[in-house]
Amino acid sequence: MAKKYYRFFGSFLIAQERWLNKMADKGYRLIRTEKLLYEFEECPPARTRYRMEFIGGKSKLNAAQYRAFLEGMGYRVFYKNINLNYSVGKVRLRPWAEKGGRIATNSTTFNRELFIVEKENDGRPFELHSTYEDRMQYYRNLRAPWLFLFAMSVALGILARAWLGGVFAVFSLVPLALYQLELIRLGKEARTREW
Amino acid sequence: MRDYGKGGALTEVTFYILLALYTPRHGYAVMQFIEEKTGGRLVLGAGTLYGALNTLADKGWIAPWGKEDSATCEDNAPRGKEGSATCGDNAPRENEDASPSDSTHRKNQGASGNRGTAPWKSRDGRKKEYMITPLGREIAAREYGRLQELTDVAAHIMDIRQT
Repeated sequence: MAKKYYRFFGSFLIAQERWLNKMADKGYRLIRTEKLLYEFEECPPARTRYRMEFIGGKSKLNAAQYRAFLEGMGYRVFYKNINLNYSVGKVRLRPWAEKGGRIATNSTTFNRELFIVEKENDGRPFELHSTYEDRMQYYRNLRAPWLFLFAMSVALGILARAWLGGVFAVFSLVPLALYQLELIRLGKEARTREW
Repeated sequence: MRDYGKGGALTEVTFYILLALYTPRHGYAVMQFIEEKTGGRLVLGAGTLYGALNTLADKGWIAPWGKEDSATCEDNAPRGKEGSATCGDNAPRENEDASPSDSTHRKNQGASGNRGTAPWKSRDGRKKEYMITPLGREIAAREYGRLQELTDVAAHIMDIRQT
């Protein structure tokens, strides 16, 4: 019996992850996602584990290759949107993305900025990034869009003398600061622990 | 990845991946190899491994196996060690795409362009395998020499009896 739930998490990746794992503990396994929909089927409790992965900076090809790799490792991968946007023919510029993925459209990477990665619960922690270097790189990827938004807001606020720029700047400063703090923390730990 | 080809140290993860790929392996097999050889001390995350494999491939230290670029083929043909199939040997592969002769296979691969687009078929029919390149072997040999020198010095200073 499939159960449908409607949720929107936006860029609150940890909250989404926690909710999916909570559902898994109750005995629900994800079978389908839409923009707001999560469809589950029943299964033994705590059978699966979920992890969110941000891939908004990747090009369609790189995202597909990454997905194929993860599936080769035995995981199941769902695409997920990070924003709530219903459109046709949407084109969005992402200068903060990697070289190959700067323009997002509905048929490429728009509304596919996240992976929901599912694995069978084997009792071991579900870490996609296991080294400090890799984790730091991942956090830089997470930080990039917010840094860009912050810089643009500040520039807009100053150039156009618009207080709206200030609002957006403050709004984007929060996640920017959080990711930056995490990067600093990881950097410190990496230095003291590894070398 | 702060890896240097000349005189510097490779990270442990990098060296282990290179070692794992002396035999053609796909991602999951590399992860298992490393976990087994380190007795569970090094468990690589899928994202980390993916990034590492891409970086090493960009550096030319490893290459997708079965891609039949001439460098790896010519090198593997005379060696054939560890039971690894040489490029021209399609016999152990169970994929539906296995072409009878290796020159046509080579032509087809060349036509399909970059490594991302074609779904690489390997022994188990689905996963993309990698193999170390001659350059990678050189790097690995250099690293072994560096570690050898390091452990010799350490053994001497720490007065470890080598019997």
